[in-house]
Amino acid sequence: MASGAGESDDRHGGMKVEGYVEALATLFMWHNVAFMLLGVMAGVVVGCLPGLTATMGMALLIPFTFTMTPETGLVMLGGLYVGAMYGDAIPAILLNTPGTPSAIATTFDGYPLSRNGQAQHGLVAAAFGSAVGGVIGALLLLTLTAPLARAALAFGPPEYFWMGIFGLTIIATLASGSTLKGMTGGALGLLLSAIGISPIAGDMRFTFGVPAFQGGVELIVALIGFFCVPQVFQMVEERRMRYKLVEYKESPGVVREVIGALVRKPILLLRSAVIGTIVGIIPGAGGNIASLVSYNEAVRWDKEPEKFGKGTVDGVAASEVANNAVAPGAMVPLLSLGIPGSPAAAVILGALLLHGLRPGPGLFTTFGAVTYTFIFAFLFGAIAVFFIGMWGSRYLARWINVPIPLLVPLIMVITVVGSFAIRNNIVDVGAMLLFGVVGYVTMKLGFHPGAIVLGLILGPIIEQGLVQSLLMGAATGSVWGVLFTRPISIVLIALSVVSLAWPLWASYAKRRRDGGGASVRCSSAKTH
Amino acid sequence: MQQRKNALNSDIWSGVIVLVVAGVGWWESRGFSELGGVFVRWVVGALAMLGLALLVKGVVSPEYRRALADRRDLPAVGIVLASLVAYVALVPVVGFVLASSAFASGLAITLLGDRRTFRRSFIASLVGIGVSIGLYVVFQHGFSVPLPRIGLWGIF
Repeated sequence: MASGAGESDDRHGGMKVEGYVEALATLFMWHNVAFMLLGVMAGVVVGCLPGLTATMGMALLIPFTFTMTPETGLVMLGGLYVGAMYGDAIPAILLNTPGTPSAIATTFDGYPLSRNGQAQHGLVAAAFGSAVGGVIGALLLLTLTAPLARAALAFGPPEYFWMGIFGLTIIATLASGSTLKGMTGGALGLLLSAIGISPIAGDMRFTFGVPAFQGGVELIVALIGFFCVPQVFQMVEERRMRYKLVEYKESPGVVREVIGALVRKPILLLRSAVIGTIVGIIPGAGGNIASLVSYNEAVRWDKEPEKFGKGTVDGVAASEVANNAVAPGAMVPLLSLGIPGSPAAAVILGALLLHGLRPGPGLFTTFGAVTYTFIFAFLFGAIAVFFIGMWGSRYLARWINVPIPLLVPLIMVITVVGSFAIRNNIVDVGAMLLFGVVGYVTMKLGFHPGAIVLGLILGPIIEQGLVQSLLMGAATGSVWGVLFTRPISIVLIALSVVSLAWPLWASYAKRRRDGGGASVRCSSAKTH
Repeated sequence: MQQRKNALNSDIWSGVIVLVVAGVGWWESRGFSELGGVFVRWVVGALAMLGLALLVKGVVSPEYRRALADRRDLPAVGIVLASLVAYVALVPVVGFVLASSAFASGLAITLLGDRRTFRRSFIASLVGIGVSIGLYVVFQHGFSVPLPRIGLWGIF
């Protein structure tokens, strides 16, 4: 079962097709289809609830996939991710409140459409745009990932070390506005990753006498703690909020009218999908950036730019195509190099590791069938989003008014079950709670929990690369030569310097423009 | 200015916390071997520099952040945290179902605040108990993941 698909890629073109067919056959087993659809529907609900995010939804779902086969678990998670990327458009259109930051640009035209009595137009444009973005993004994921993973075969310890450093410099952008806090969050994550027995020398580090920590920080526990608990506390603060949805009646001709109008704009759809995929591939950037850039380009290239902002389906589609292409795009660096470029990708990494799949070239050889099944789940999940979104948005939108006092304890019970179930150890639940409190406090201080988690994930890659490079340097007589003179390392060092310098320069330029000085913020950081 | 009065200098606070973490990391890493400690020492060094940079920024160009949008939320956040700690402590003692039912129902009723009525409290209790039993059944019998139990009627 878990052989073949990718293994055959290099050798024979025909075998590649055979691998795809095997993955498709796995995906279309009835239980996989059922769990994918369940994941998509759960994702739409999670996305449309202001306060919940795709990252949090996936972290909560992981415990339910423990005993599933890797294919089924990953297909369900992929479905949830894709569904949530669409679901956030529903409150953006009906409430003028994006379900997640990715749908900010969707409000620009979505809510004016609702105010003009055309809410259904907005929802159909969002569902169609989400499907187009998801399908194009998944096709690019299918074509780009395996070659990139093969390129990673040329990587040795120094290259992995620098790739980890590159990933670390990029997560600095995850802090809401502060590069310094982003880097500090990443460094705190690196220190957390050092807990347990060191990988090469075998030292016992930072266990403080707790045997459960000898194996290091359990990634799923950290994911649940950092991504769910702070968000729950945030929900407690927002529990008095009430939402009033725009009411609308469905008309049968609207679906054909909106899709007809959008199909006649293939450049808009393709450009938005490519922007979304590229932004998704770049670690640190997310759906909010993709949708804003795509919306901006749609306005810039349109013959009637004045119609944007007043309620046009083009604006909704530009935003939704892009932010839905981000989801498969973010899988490219994750599946090929093991670098999660976003908090959501970090959760997927946790799920992959839980099911015994380590990202990198091996994912496309040894576990080719599972991997391609997962990739196809993005493709067909996007198509499912179209149908569910087209005819189910109206009913799913009612979840928006589920009372927060009811949601908070239920989410907390699931976090406790999830962190306990990994090793049947109550210490893990305590650790999850501790990470949650740390995540909440650091969030209040302006850190993004995602930066800490990504540091935690990149830590072992960086440490192993560093220690092995030092050993290689000692053997060859030149640590400098091993770490700084290999061609791929030089490229990665240059990229790290650029990615580190860019936000610093941008921040400096912004300060100069704004005139500097102190600022007051109300902390409400949300994960993607 | 009024806004700043109710806000924290987040850079100073962050800098102090990061320096304390770096100090603990350095203290603990003294006994590590060369290969086992090289990464930790690099990270601790980086953390110390970043902590100092945050302190400097807190003096030169501070960022003030309000911890809570509304100070009235502080008791609610405290209640959630305290009940979570109590819940986690209770799970091994009274089993998952009883602890979760009490936690979910009690917290939901508490958070209802001004909108608490008998009907809403009753629904919150039912949902809390139902979800706790549902999760127990799904994990214990569906996924074969054993959750803490106290042998109540041989079921929970």
